[in-house]
Amino acid sequence: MDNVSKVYRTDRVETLALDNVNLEIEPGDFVAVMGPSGCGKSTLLNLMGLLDEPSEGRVELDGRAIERYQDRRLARLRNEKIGFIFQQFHLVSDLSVVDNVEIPLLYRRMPYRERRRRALAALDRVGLSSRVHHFPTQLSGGQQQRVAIARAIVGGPKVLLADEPTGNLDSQMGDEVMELLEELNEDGATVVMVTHDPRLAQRTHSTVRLFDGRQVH
Amino acid sequence: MLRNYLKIALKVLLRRKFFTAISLFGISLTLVVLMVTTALFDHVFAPHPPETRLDRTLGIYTLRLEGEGSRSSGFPGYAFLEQTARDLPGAERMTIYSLQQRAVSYPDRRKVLSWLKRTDGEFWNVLDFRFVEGGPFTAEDEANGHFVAVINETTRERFFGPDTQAVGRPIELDGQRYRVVGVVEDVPFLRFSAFADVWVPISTKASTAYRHEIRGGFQALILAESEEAKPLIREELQSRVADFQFPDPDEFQVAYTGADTLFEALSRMLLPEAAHQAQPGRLLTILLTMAVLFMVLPAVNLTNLNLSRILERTSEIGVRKAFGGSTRELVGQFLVENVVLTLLGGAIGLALSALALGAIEESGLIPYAELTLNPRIFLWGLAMALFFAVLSGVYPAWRMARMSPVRALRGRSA
Amino acid sequence: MIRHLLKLAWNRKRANALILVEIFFSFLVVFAVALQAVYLWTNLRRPLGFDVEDAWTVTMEMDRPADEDATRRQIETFARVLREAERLDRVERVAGAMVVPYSDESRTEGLSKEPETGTAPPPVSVEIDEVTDGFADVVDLDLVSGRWFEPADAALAWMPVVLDLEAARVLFGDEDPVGRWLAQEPDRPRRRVVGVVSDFRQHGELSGPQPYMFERVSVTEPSHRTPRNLVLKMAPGTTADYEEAILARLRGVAPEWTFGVKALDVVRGTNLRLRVIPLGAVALIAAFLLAMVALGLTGVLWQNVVQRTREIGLRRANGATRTAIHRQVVGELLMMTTSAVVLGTLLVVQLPILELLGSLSPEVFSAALAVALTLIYALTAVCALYPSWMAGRVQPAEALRWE
Repeated sequence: MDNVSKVYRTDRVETLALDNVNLEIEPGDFVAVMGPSGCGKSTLLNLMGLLDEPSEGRVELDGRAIERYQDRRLARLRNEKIGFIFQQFHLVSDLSVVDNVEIPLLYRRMPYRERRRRALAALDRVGLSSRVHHFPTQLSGGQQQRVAIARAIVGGPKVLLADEPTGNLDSQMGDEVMELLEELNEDGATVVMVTHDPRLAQRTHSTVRLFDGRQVH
Repeated sequence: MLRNYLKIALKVLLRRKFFTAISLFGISLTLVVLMVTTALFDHVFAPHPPETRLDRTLGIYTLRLEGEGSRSSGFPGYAFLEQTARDLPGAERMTIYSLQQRAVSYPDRRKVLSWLKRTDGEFWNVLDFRFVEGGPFTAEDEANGHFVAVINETTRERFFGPDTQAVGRPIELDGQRYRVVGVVEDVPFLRFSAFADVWVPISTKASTAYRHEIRGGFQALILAESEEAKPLIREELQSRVADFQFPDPDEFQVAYTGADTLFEALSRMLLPEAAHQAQPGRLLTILLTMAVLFMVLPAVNLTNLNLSRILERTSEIGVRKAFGGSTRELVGQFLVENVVLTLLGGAIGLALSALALGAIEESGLIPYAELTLNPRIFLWGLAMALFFAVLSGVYPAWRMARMSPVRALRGRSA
Repeated sequence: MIRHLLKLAWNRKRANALILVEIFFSFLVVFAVALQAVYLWTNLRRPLGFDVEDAWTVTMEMDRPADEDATRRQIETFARVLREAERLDRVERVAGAMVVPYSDESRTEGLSKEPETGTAPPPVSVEIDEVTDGFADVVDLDLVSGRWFEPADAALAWMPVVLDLEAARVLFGDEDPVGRWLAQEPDRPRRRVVGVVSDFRQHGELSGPQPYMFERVSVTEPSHRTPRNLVLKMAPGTTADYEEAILARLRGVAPEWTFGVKALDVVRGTNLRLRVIPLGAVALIAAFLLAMVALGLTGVLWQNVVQRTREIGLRRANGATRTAIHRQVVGELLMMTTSAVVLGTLLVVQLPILELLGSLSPEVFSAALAVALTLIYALTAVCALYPSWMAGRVQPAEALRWE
């Protein structure tokens, strides 16, 4: 990220969410982003995930600068290179676990058999093969987050963006999820994790600190 | 408490303007159709001048004859009515009249079509016409075959021009000349028994064949002495009809008719199963069923919309419940919103109905229609609006009552 | 993708039940109206069999004859009336008919052909008109085979009849009916077919197919009944005030009869209006109902989108383009429509299965079904437009932040 700023405008208020942030993240890194609430952590993640456009500055992904924020191209990039993990899991409650996991593959024109195969493999990787046809409401918090992780990795993305992934979990489940993320990082994925828990940040390679939208050290 | 509910209700409805608009549109539209239908019904079946004594009036409107291999459904003939309807016990007065028919005239080389009705003298005593000029013809006129006529205001204008006197002047219809003896206010088409443009004595008919016909284009009205006398009249007529002697017993052997109200007669005409006996109950059931079916679609639509309104406020409901709001209060709030919405829609519907009825009057589809909204129709409209409010609110209210606060706060509505 | 959407729709069936019910009832309403409309339209496209341009009709009211003498006098009066009418200078041709085209009256009889051997086939209901020889010319009947009535027929010992194509088809099938006898009915003279005309639809352009037969009325012999109407072919351009002249002349010949004149164009107008107005009223109400349902559906679908904002954000984050989201919203609705419509079709298909269709042919039924299906799909697709556009505009970043 190169000199990136983000301003939110509403009718009455202008909020400077990020101010002149410069970041470089190498493949295979495990980065934690920390700071008090409201400091712009999620905004930073949104920009990294191409879910939003910076007001100033430039974002580069995988060596390529994002020049034009066209819906089609962004969607394809997100689909192929980025996996998201959210604090609230955001699973579709009307779909079974395996149907949830296959969602990224739907937007890739993959035949049904292939989708199934990959989804089941991802679920196996996160250790939930026995719950393949369950519904999210039938699972514990930790299990739901693991489903979300399976969904994030099913497309084989290079980057995993996790926004407070253990926020809704107790310490034991949180630990399990953290372990899974470490494993995935060791397998080659670049992981950027927003957190407010210093203990978790310690387990990462490096930490970016934000305060009122600015980088601090 | 109620004021509180009302304030909140209005705020809620204004917040989601699109939804409110659709609901109002749906309610008002359905009500317009229902109200116009009700108005038409009311104007046919409720007492309006000149049929002001409907509570005491019975009529012989139809006649069905059956024999071996032949059947006839139609209207009674003069001879049949003479033999069965005269001097019934409990009857104060009786009149026989023909069905209205088109009569053609050529005043000043123009072609004019008028509705012509032939009546006896008692017609004017059973019904209550408003004369603007002159008066009716009498039983004596009828007995002596005088060529006299009563015309309505529109006919007076058509033949003699506006703002003139017509009494004493001649008028020619279907090649026959009459002398005008009275002018009445226009009678609406929906007053079927009374309606015509011109009324003349029966005896002026060119051919006298009607005197012997048991089938023909005639009807009779019977004015009972009192409401209690009506069953007596009905019974006596039934026994006379059962004993009726047919002039040609080879053609038909049995007759079916009765001293009916207009609605009962309608059931005879419309329902095949009412050929022998009037089935007003059945007709009413069928009409109500059709009305209900018609209302299903808008009711489902409104229920859908109401449900969406509730589901949208899931978290709000969860918060209220969590902070001690009882289900009763929440449902009460919702019902008030619903009633406000429905009453608003009803008011719009009422206004639109008035416009629609006005349009029907203007279009001339129903001659001389005087379709106005009287308090009776208005109350029916109100009742139907409230019925919709309740119907479309039941299921959503039930859903709302069932919502558990915990799950609601999480965003789940069930 | 379709499989995925199907699963989604199936799992959400409880939430979508009301929408399904709405679409179901809308389909029924549309089908009922379409059935009527298609029926009338197919009727309209059939040939009429006659032409009433410049044709007027005179109705004649007379006493019922009390005995044979009265009957004879009546037919003689009728013959005189016919002759006088022909003498009028603006009248080109004249005929007598018991029932005129476009009128609501009818006389039907169950008829069958007289078989070569064995018993007659079951009788078929045929409409009959009793007409004089001039009728074919006055209303421009289209002779297909055989001949029309002629004055020499008066000498025949039997009654000549002319069938229309529909009657020929139902009575004789593929055989040539000309020269064949009809099965003898009690109290009726022996009848023999002398000719066939094209399909004759007395009740007008909007009526269904009906077998028709013409019987010959003799003006020289007393037949069982005197025709109640005259049909006159007028010189082109005759104005309405000539009616008075006609009436005056005819009243002079038969003062005890009552006459009335009407142009057949006017009768046609009444006939058409009687059939179209009820359909028009019903169609109007149905259209309003559907408009209301369309708005309601749009609103409910919009609400649906609002409720599933997080899901939409999630999918967008995972690579769905706006177009993909549009397609999902529209696709889900189309699936709901299909379920509702399948149920509706199952219900509606009972009509021909239980043989409740009556006079409606299977072609009319299928056409109406096709029209109803198209309309409902079009309706729901339009309803999905605004909500799907809204869904596309959901910002994933905001959607996913919502708690």
